[in-house]
Amino acid sequence: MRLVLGSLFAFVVAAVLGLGATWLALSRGVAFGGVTIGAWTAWPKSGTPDIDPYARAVVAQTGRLPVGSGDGVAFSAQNDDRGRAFDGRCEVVVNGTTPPARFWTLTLYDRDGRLVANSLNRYGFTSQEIVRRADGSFEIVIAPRARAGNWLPTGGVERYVLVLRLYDTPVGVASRTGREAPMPAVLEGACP
Amino acid sequence: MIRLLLWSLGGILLGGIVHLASVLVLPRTATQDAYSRLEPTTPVNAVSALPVPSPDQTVLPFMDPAFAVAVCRYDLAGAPLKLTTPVG
Repeated sequence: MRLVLGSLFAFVVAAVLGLGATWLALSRGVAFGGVTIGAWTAWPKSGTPDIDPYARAVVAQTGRLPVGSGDGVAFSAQNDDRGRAFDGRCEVVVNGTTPPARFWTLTLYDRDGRLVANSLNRYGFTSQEIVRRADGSFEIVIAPRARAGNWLPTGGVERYVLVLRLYDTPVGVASRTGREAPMPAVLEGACP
Repeated sequence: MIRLLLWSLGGILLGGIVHLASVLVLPRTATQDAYSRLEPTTPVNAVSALPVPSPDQTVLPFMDPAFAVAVCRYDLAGAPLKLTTPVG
């Protein structure tokens, strides 16, 4: 009787711990081989056969198609450089330059990966349509209300994710620091 | 008391195995991965363009709206697949 009760207890502990750890790992996006530069994180191996099992599980569970490693790399950010989570009611400024790339896009999604509706039907910027300063750097203001310059509307959603995709770029698994890959700074500003 | 601790220790070790096994098995059993989402709408052995993502409908999450995406689900059971495309 004690053996049965004991093993039952052990099995319950195992199921709760094991499945709980799996659920946590997948919902938090824990995966090995991530490249974090400032607020931005990328998993360059996600587009290769060497993808690690955690990233593979996340890809399968969410149904996304990762960018192939020959095409480019996708950096995503949910917090600004100070670690504050993006709030769609606040103003967020993306400022600086991107690593060398033939073409890049910056897109705003909600946390489930859907585009956010807004009256302009503007969901992001590409490197071809952005307004730059004389030195080639740029500033994108992500805010609920219209701004001068490069304005990306948030539609007033509470939480969102920014994804910066660099196509045809030398940035990859070997990139580790901001000097090799100068990512734009992300700072959350005034909240109404 | 000792017995309970031992059972817990066994449970924790077994939990680690359950965790690793579930992570490894999940991609094979997932019902909502990209392939299953595309299966009802795309033909086999033909290239078909996916609709441009919009806030109301998106076939797959985190699609880049700056790009047009086309997929070809292929089946090599019958014969090899030959793909030709105009370049430029």
